[in-house]
Order: sequence, then C-alpha cells, then structure tokens
Amino acid sequence: MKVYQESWLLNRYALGLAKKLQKEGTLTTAQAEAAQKLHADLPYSPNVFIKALLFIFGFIGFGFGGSFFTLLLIGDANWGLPIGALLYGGGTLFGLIHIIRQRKLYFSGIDNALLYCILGSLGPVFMKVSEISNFKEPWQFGLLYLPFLLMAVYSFGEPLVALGLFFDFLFIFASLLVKHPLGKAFLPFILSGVSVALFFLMHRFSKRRIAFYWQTALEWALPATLLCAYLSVNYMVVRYANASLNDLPMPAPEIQFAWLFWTLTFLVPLLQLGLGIRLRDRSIIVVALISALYSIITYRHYHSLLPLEWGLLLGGLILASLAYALLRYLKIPKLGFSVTPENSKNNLLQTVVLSHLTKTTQSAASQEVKMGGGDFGGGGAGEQY
Amino acid sequence: MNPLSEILTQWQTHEIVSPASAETIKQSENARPVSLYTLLRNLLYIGLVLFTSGAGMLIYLHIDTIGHDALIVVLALLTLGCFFYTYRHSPPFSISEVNSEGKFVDFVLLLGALLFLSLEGYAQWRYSLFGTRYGLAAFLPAAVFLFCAYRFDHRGVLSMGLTALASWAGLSIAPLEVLTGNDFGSTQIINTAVGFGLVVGGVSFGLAHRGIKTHFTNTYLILTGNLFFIGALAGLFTSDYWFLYALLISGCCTFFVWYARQKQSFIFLLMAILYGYIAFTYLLFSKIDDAGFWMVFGGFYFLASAGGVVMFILNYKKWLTN
Repeated sequence: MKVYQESWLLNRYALGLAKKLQKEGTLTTAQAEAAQKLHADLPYSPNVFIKALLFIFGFIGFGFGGSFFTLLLIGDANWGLPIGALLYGGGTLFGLIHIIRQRKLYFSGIDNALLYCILGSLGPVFMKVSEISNFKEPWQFGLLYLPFLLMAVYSFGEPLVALGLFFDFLFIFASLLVKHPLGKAFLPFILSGVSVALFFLMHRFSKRRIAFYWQTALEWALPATLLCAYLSVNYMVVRYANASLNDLPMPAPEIQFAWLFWTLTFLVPLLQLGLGIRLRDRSIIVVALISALYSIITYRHYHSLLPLEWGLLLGGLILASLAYALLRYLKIPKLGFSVTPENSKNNLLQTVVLSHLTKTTQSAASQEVKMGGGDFGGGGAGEQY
Repeated sequence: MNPLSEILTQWQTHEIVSPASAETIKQSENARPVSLYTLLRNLLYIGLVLFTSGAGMLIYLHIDTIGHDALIVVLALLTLGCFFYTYRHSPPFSISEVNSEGKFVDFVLLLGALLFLSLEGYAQWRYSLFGTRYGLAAFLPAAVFLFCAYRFDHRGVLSMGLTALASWAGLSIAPLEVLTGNDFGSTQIINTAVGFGLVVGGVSFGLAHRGIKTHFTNTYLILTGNLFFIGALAGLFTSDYWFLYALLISGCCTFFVWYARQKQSFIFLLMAILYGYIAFTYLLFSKIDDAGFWMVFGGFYFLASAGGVVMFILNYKKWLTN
C-alpha cells in the first residue's frame, strides 16, 4: 500500500514545470494560472527549516511518549518492553498514516521522523526473537529487519530507509559470502559487481513511469550503489578488510594482487565520471569526485606523494582553475551540461564555513602572538616570558 | 520516472496548451541541459580555501629558506592585487543588492580577504606589528571586511567581518563553536554575548529598515542570533537575574517569529522555537522543583509540548506562508 497519494507528487511536479516554463516565457501568465488551478491538490512539503523543526519535535514526542507509555504498560520484565514497543510502534504507524492523509504530508520532517521511530520500535521485538531463537550472528538480526524495510520503502519511498534497506541487504549478503573461502577471496569483486548490477537495475527501473513514486529514494540509492562499488575495490578498504576478516595483526599487511586494487582505485572514479557525463547525472559526477578524493587519500596513506602543504596548494590551485575553466567553458551548454544559475543558494553554508575559517585563522595568529614570537616550535622562548 | 508526457496530455485535454506547444515543450524539456552551476561554484570555493591553507602552511614551514621580508612583500602584493582587481572590476556601490554572484570578481575578493588574514597574522607573528594591542589586531580585519562587504556586496566577506568583530569583543561567533568557544561560566562573557547580539543584530535591522543592503540581515541575524540566544540561555541557567534573561529571550523569540513570517526565512522560526522551547522547559522544571511530580508528568509534558509544537506548525502553515 502506497501511503502518499501519487497525484500529490504529480501535481507538485506539474506545478514546478509550469512555473519554470512561465519564467522562461514559454507559458503565458494565463496558461500558468490555469495549470495552477488544475494541479491545486498539493502535498505539504515545507521549507527545510520547518522540516527540521517538525523532525526534531517528532522525535521528542515519540521518545517521551514511548517512555510514558512504557511506564504505564510495563509489567512483565521479560516481554513488557518488546510488546510495549510493538504496540506503541503499531499505534504510531496507524496515527502516522492518518495524519499523512489528513494533512497531506509528504516528507515534511514529522513523517520521516515517525517512520524511523516506528522501524526502531521493532528493535526490542527482534532482539527478543534473536534471544529466543539463539541467533549468534548479526546478519540474522539484519535478516529479520529486511522485509520490514522493504515494506517501508514500498509504502513510503523514504530515501534514508531505502539506503538502510540497501546496506542491510549488502551486509547480509557479505556476511554469508565470507563463510565460504571462495566468497571471502572474491568478496571485493562480488560486492562491487552486485552494487553495479543493482545500480543498472535501479537505473533502468527509474526510467519507467511507475518509478515516479520512489523518485527521491532512487535519487539517494543510485549514487550510494556506485559509492559502494568503488569502496569495495578501494585498495585501503580491501587491505584493512582483509586484515580484519582474517584476524591479521594491525597495521594491515600487504594484500595479494595489490596492483589490481591500485588500478581499480584510480580507474573506478574515472569510469564513474564517464558514466555521470554519459547519463547526464550530477549526483554521479559528485560520487566520482568523492571517489577521486578518497583515491588520493588512499595513495597518500601509503606513499609520500607530496608534502601536505604542497598537496593543498597545488590541489587547491588545480581544483579552482578547473572549476573556473569549466564555468567559462559551459557558458554555452555542451555535452548536455550548462552553468545556468540554480535557485538554491548556499548562503547559510557559506556563512558557516567562512565564519569558522576566519575564527580558526585568527585564533592561530593570536596564539602565535601570545607565544611571544619564538621561532618554529620554540613557543614560550620569547623574552616576554 | 519523468511523467512529462502525462502532464502535457492533461494540459492539452484542459486546453492549457496546444498539441504543437506540447510537442515543443516535450522536446525542449528532454534536451534541457543539466546545470553544474552550484557544483562548480562550490568546487571553486573549496579550491580557493585549500590553496590559501596550503600557502599558509608552506610559508610557515619554509620561512627560513624563503625569507620573511620577501614573503611579506609577496603576500601583500597578492592581497593588494586582489583588492585592486575587485575595485576595478566590480559595479559601483549601491545601497541595494548588487548581483555579482558567480562572477570571477566575487571569488577574487574572497581570496583577497583570506590572504589579508594570513598577511596580518603573519606580520603580527613576525614583526609584532600591533605589539600587545591584540584588540587592534582583531579590529583591523573586522573593519576591512565589513567595509569590503558593503562596498562590493559580498555576504561571505560580511560573515568574515562579523566573526572578526566578535573576536575583537572576545567572543566566538562561528556557529558550530558558539557553545565550545565561549566561556559561558563567566557573567562578563554572557553579558558581552547578549549585548553583542542585541547591538549588532539591532544595527543590522536598523540598516535594513533604511533600505541599506536588506539582504545582509539574514547573515547578521543567523550569526548574532545564535550567540545571543546561547548567551541569554546561559544567563537564565546561572544568573540571579534570570527573569531579565527570560524576558530578553521571549522578546527576541517573538521578534524572530515575526521576522520569519515577514521574510519567509524559516531558519529564524527554527531558532525562535528551539531556543524558546529550551528556555520555557528549563523555567518550568526549575520553578516546579518536585522530582516526584516530574517523574510522573515529565514524559507527558514532553509528549504534549512536542505534539503542541507540531500541531501549531501544521495548523498554522497558511499563517506562516502568507
């Protein structure tokens, strides 16, 4: 059962399209107003800060309501908590569906918070089941959660729950693989392959009209699969995972076929970048950049490429120059990309980052001052002291 | 995933667009390029920050081989070059918003400001340029950045100027450092924070009221508001004159809610409700000092109050967005 009405999402999409076309002059004001009337049945999806408020107070309400409920109901020390949590979670789910329909909520913060809480309330029940069934391995606990996460993703299409489902599946799969010597030996390639296969399956699904209901979940899950595909074959991750799985002493010793993993560490970000450009997908390009950054960190972890200061200086220079060159190059759209200004302005982020940078630089300078000017680590050696 | 065809069919059925227009819209939407504007701008910012950090470290580590004077001259030339370029290439001053966002000059000014900080810190470290007048050392960048922010209309440099101004007053205003960077055990710091928040926030509001750079008000209120509320909460928790702080908090919460509604800037609503809730809950729990009572009703209070806030927002969404 889909909890949100798909017509709300369609109306929201249509209205966004109408506004954009009106701004560009493709639709007249009269046409845009007619579209607005036609698509008036919209969900309540507020500003990010209102969402944050609803999210925080949703959590507070659920948490303290839970403790209040448990105090009233708990009697049996053995089954009191699991049954209480189940009843409370079930009641909240009922209330949540009611409030979503009544208030037309769609990822408004409160519905996200309550969904996480409802899934969390299954925890005590599953722990009890694990205890009774004498489960010894964590993946069995994950397996209990899997169908509920699947149902939640189907019904709500919530992006964080979708990520939870993906990672839960991957965790169970990897846990079963390492039980067999062959599975353990090929773990990086199998995990990477499964992630890539999931990416293409989901990507193909995302092109179909019926996938529209899960668009946000897919927008989150698709880059996550590619990031996993990369991390599974990243040299540093594989080397540490190999030591951890085989109980080898730290620091993690060298692995077999190191050259292959080094190649993949640098090849996969390039492939991701190519894929991002080919599919005209910004999020894949961001994943490629994150992967490339992690590849540099990996290389620096094992080899002294450049001193940090030169790395920062040259890296910053190359990054800024490339970004600037691309900003100029794409003024006339090419390869399906442009640099048309978008509505989202990261003013808050800019304020926070620059404020911290200023504070850090000033603090560093004033500390130097207070040291009395002792050269290079000779803090306190100045004549003032 | 894209229901474009479906929507266009609906529009045709309701005679909003003609079949020919629908076809044109479909083709142009399918060929619409993906914008990399925000991504590339952010990468440019990150690149500049990395570059200046690397340059700072390099200077520090290789000072003995490069020579102090040479470095100071290079840094000063670079800084002056950035400011000169900005002066030559930016539009003339206007009291309203001058949109230079995304233009190269925007980044050059930011680079100049970052280099100026390094230059000043370095000159003070090496030559004790300001001696022990640390106040002046903190005030100079504040004055330069605030001037540049208004002259060249740059919100990033404004936040740098406000941070430097707060440092001059002995405070840390950087949002993630307000709580840890200030010693709110001291009444003097509490009162300075509250006073700084009220005065600087008030000045920004006064300037906006006169139509001077109205778009700067959000940056001012985000930085000073956090400092004010945290300082006032510390006063409420520790001072004998708690009722004064309670009054100040309630006054500012009312102002922030009003302002959020006026400007549709809901970060202020978030701040007002969160800080107001903390203050109200603290007062309630500290004034009804009965552990037994709260054991029973504590959970109920949080449930009811959280539900109340949620219901307020959901019921008054029209009030908030009108």
